[in-house]
Parts: sequence; C-alpha cells; structure tokens
Amino acid sequence: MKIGLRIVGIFLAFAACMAFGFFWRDLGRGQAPSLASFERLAGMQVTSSKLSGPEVFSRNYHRLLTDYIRPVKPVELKYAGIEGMVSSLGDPHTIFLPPTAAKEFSEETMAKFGGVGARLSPDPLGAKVAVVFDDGPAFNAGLRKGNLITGVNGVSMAGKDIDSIVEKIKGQEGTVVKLTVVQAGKEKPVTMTVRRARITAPTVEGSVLPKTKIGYLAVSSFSEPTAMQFDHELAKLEDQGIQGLIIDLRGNPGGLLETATDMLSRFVENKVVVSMKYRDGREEQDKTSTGDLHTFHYPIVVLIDGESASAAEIFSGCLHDYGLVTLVGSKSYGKASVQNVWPLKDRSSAKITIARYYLPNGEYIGRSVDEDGVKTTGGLEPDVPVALNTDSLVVFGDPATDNQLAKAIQVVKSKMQSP
Amino acid sequence: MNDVLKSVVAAAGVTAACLTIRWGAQLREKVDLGGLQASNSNSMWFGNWLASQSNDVNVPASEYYDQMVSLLKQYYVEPIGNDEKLASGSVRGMVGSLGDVKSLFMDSKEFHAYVNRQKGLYEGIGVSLSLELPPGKKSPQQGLQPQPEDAEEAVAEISRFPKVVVSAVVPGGPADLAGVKAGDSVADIDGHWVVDQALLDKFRHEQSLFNERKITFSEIAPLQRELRQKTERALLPIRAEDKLLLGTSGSVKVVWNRDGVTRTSTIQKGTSRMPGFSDSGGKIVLPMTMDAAQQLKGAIQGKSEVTIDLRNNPTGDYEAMAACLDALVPAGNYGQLANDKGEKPSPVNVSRGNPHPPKITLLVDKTTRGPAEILALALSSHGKATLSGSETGGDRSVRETIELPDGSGYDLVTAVYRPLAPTKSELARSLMASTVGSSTQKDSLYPPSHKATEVPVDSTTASRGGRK
Repeated sequence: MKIGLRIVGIFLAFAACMAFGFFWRDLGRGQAPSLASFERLAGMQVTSSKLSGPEVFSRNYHRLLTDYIRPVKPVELKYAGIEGMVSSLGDPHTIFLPPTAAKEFSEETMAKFGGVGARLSPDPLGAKVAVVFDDGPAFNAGLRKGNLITGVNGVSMAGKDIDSIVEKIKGQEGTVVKLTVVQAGKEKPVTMTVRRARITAPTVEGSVLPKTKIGYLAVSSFSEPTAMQFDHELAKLEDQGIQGLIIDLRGNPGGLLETATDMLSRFVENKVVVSMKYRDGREEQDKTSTGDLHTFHYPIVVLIDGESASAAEIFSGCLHDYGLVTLVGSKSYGKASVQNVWPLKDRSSAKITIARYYLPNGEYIGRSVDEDGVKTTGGLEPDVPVALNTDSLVVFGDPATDNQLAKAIQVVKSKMQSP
Repeated sequence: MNDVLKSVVAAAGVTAACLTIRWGAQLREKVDLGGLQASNSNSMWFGNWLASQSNDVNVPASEYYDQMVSLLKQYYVEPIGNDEKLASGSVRGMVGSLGDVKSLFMDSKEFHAYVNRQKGLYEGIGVSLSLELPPGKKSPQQGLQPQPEDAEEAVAEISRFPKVVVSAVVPGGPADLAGVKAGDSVADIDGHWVVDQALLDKFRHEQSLFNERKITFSEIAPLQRELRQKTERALLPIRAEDKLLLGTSGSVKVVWNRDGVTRTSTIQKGTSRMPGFSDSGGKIVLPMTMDAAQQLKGAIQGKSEVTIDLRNNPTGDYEAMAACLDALVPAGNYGQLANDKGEKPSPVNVSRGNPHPPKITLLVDKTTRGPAEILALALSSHGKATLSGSETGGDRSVRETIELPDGSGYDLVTAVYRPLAPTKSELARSLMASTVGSSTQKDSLYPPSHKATEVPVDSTTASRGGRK
C-alpha cells in the first residue's frame, strides 16, 4: 500500500515536471498556459496527417529555411508567403505590399513625396528633364525643361537606370541634393543646389489643341490633389474660350473614389455615382454633392483605353450613364471593386477588396479572365471605338500621331456643329 | 540504506525530473513548431499590429500569417471558408520566391500526375519535361509560377523565362509515335506562344538602342508588333507543361524546336508507361523506384558482369538510388552532397554494400537525369562502372517531394551531388585505364567510350564533345 502510494506520487511528480516544461513557454511570456497547444498535442496523436492552415505555413516556412540548397532570407520568405496566400484568393486587386512597395503605393495615392519637383526621362548621359513643376524647388534653382542631369551629389549618372536616378534625387523634405546640370548654350555643366520639398505632382495637364477651340485635359490619376488641379486647369482653358473639351483618361489607373466623386459633383448634383455591395449584402451608395455644379455649355468627349481602370472607369462610366459625354477609344480595363488599405506596423500594408461596385445604370464592369490570363469580359464599351494605331511612333496628345485623339477631335467637332 | 546510496537516488531523481521538464518543453516545441495560437486570435491584436508608433518591425512569420488570415476573414468581399487554400497559396508564394526551376510548386492535379510519373505512369502526350533557364542573368523571381493576373503583365515585368524542354519520351507513347525526341523544346501549343526569352531579349535590346536614338521607330516597329500579337495569347512555362503533361483525352497541336528547326505535330493525349524493371537479354532496365532497387539485388546475384540501362530515367527517388548503390558496390564513400550555404558537405556512404560486385556497364544518354545520373556518376567516378552511350542530362540535384493537405505539393532541391575529387593515384589509374570514367565535368558526364566507339547521336553532342 505504502509502496503503491509512493509510485503514484513519483508518477504525479514527473507528470507535473513535464507539464511545467510544456507550459514553460507561456510562463516565460507571462501568459496563462496555452490550452490550444495542449489540445493540438492531443489532436496531433489522433490525426497527425491533417495539419491546420497556420501549421502548414509554419512547417513549410521552416523547411524552406533549413532544407533548401541555397540560403534564404527569412523576411523575404515571410513576405513571399503572405503574398502567395493573398493571391490564392484569385483577386488581382487584393494584394500584400511589402514595405518598399507600400511606400511607393502611398506616394502614388497622395501624389506627394519629398523631391525637387521635376519629371525625368531616360537619357544615355543621365536623365533628361521632361517637365519642371511650376514654382517647385528645381524651378526656383533654375532647372528647365530639356536640361540634362548628368550627376547627383557629385556622382556621375551616365548610363544609370532612370528609376535609380529618380530614387537618388528624391528624399526627405528639407534635405539638400546637388545636381550637375548640362544646359544648352552653356559650355560647362552647372551645379545646382536644391532643397527638397514636399512635392505635389501635377495629375492634370491642360492645353488648347492647336488650330482648334477644343480644350484637352489629360488626367493621369485620381489622387488627393486631382480634383483641385482639375478645376484649376479647366478654368485656365475656359478663360481661353474653348468650345469643346476632351478629357483623356487613357492609361489612368484610377485612385481614390472620393476624388472621382468630387470631380463628378461638377457635372451632376446629388446623383448616384456607384452602388457598392459588401460581403454581408449591405449596399451603400456614393452620391455627388450639391452646390459644386459647374455649367459645361460645350460638348465633352472622354478618351479611354485598356489601361483606364477603377476610379477612371467610375468617372467616365458615370458621366456616360447620365448622358453627359461620349466615350471614345478602346475598351477599358474592367476593375469594379473597392479596396481598403491597412497599413501594418512593419511598414508593409494590405490592400483588400471590401466591396464590388455597380455603375448608375446597374452595370457591373468587373473583368473576368480565362485560364491564360486573357481578359474575356468586363470593362466599359466606348461609344466610338477606335484602336490606337501604333504603326508609327505615338505621341499622346498630338493629333498628328495619336489617332484616338484625332477621332475624339472629330467627334467633338461634329457635336459643336449640331448642338 | 546508507547516506551515499540515498544521495545517489536523490541525484538520479533530480536528473530525471530535469529531463522530464526538458521533454515537456521539447514536446511543446514540436506541437507549436513556431506556430502560435491560431484558434484564439481575435481582433485584440489588431490594435498592436496595425501601424502605430511602435518601431518593432520584426513580426514572427507565423504570427504574421495568422494575423493576415484574420484580416482577410474579417474584411474580404467574399467569405473565406477554406483555410487549406490560403495555406497552400502561402507555400506556393514561398516556393515561387526561390526562383528555382527545379523547386516547383504544383497544384493538386499537377502534383498527382508528378507522383505518378515518378512511378512510371504518364498521361498527356507521354513525355517528361524540364525547365531550362537560358544562360546569363540569374533566376526569375516569379516567371515560374502563373499568377492569376494577366499573362501580358507578367511578360512585361519578369526578367527571365525558362525554356520548356523534353527531358525524356516514353517509348511507344503518343509523343514518341509523333517523332518527339529528348532535347526538343516547345515553341507553341494550340496557337499559344510559349514565352521565349530569346525574343524578349532581342526586343529589349532593340528598345534600348531606340532609347539611345541609335535606331528609328520603323526599325523597331515590326518586332514590337510581333511581340504584341504573341503576348495576346501567351503561355507561361508551367502552363505549357500542364497542356502537355495532364489529361488523357483530346489532342494538342505543338510546335517543336530542334536545333533551330521548327516542326509541328498534332498529338492525341492518353496514358503511357515508362519501361519498368526488367532483366532480359543480359540487360537490366533500372528505373529509380524502391521496388526496382529490391529486384536489382536478385538480378545481379551470382553474375560476374551486368549491363544496366539507365536511359529514360528523367526522374526518380533518391532513396531508391541509394538502395541501388548499396546493391552494386562494396562499402565505402561514393561522393558527397553539397549545398550553397557554406555548410560542410555530407558524405554519401555505403555501409553494408556488396562485397563481390559484378563488372558493371551503364547505358546512359541525356534522358539519364536526377537520381539515375547521380548513380551513374557515383559508380563511374569511383571506378565501379563503365559508361556507354552519350552525354547525360546534367541534373544532379537531390530533391525532397512534399505533399500538402489539399493534395498540392512541391519539389525542393536540398543538395547537389558531387563525386569526391579523385586523388592523384586514382586519376593516374583512370587515365591509364580508358574503361574507367573519371568525369569531373561540371554539368554532364561524358562516357569515355563514345569518343572511341560511338557515333554521336546528334550534332550538339558532337560539338560539345569536341569542345571538351
């Protein structure tokens, strides 16, 4: 009897030791013992083959790190796993953005970043200045369109990739960058010292098409400052007495729904822009505001193509549904979903589709693709379809080489004659 | 009981207790395997996970995973029911990020067919394929895995695409009857262009010339137009593999490329079978499967000389290779498995072995790959066999095959086989005796016999042989 008790006692003592070891991890963290782990222990013995999702991830993550023939960076592997998981949903717009991509994305949405205020194009000697933003730091330092930037901070940029040059010129506002600049008519390159500032990139560029009374507004994205820039450029064109307008949304990947709605409020008052349907069946309508109406007493054409997406499609589809514009160009991309972005604490972010939207007339323009990734349906159908002729070099915005624009001019002109 | 004994018992008790604690902790480690409580995670942690002032950027991988799953479950536009799909997706992403043409993720259909091929059972047109990266810049990041989005975008963004090359043809199978040969590469399937890196490179080169204003637009336009037409219906390499390797009905029209010459064939899909183990006419056909390794032992028993056919051996099981090695050679060291992580290579040892090995002749050619090629190299470079035939395939990687709960799976290259550097005396011996192969060639084996006796199968072999 006494020996029996002693054996039970020893057994219990060992069991206690083992339990102590098992839950040591929790105690070390100051948590209550994890019952989930204990349950998993029991479960593991019964069905060891069926692993839960997180276990599948975790085991294979560790396997790749330890067994693969080459060294693997844990952080990159982690991000690749999360990207893969997110893309398994089959929705190209639900994406995980690792830190660097997340930074670019937020700069795009805001259309604001620390820089000198210029747009560059590739050049064998470095970078060619394509556009200098009015009143930006580069403009004030004397940089002009057509100048060549051959060096940054004393380092030659000849033969460098344009993206890497831009990356070197950009930087935190308030800091200084030295540019070596070659200007036509000057023998020696000059060094410009430019203090970086918060740059708001122009997303709307307006001009009156030569030899016409037609205004041309190229909108490159729907960012935070776009609505304001749109008003500003439109006013400039109207001051010049335009009698027709072409809004070019080709290549416009979209952006913020608020911006599109804001801009649509110039055209229609208190009207539905889109209906959004959420997962729980909840429906929400986005409407234009009242009191921002602008009178357009001239015909308007909107140019779209396969790269006009999202907010660009909402903007053009909505104006089309209310019979305010004629769509010219080629079929648009077909993105009919709304995403929300969650910034995460390691500076990455998650962009998740939270709703689908329908245009005012109830049309759903979301694209579907076949097994080879080729689009089968979706997108806005233009009223006047015309494919871009790329047999010769196209300069967008130049009717001589841009046949879609030429067509748009023709359409506006015909409407101008028969109001 | 005396005091000494008492203290010994006490010490033993304390030690046992400590070991038990350790055992418990290890068990916990095993249970969790880095994974944390997935079941009881809830919105609590959102607060500290979402962007905040905190600069703690290193969130452990499994925690990260759990949190992203919860975020999706809470907000994604469609309900997410299937955890397995998300998990397999994450593994697909991780394997894809290796950018390795030999470590590939396969969905459940692909994986099922792959496992069958290892057993010799083929569907589709009856070929085995390998992905071969063109020489030059290293590894594509995602060119291997089809993304759900546009092929067009993928073509624009990804730097290098591998070629889809036939590594072996099932004798008597549909492709064999259509005249397909190992080494043929796939150019087009059913009117879909199989993305060709050479053409992309040519275009990029012209584009940069154009950017530098060295050529005019009209000079670059025809190629641009051709590429645009092709990318409208393009097939990524893995998709191309699917079209040829999966299914037992219907037919495919394939454009093949052999040494720069293209030919088209329409091939009916069906089932076919690689020759299994056989021992007839003094020749042993040896696939790299476990049961073949078992049968090998019986087949060589009491024989003083054997010929083993290792052709049509594009894939197989490394363990089966080890079992064959064990049956064919006496105990000893037969090379090593090396990795690129700066770790010490592990030796390939045969512990029991065959103390009375027969004289072995191996038949090899470019369809001898993977475990079969390792076997050929292990035997020939250690003076245990003579090679006959032509150059081997050039794949000596050791792979693990992992299946996931939803039936998908992947291959993971864990090491590459290397014969031991031959010692001086061995080298001298092998040079003197021309029957002994001592190839230390980096990528493929050159049977010494073919120089003297065999006519090279095709011009490629001849020119490479000549360079050697």
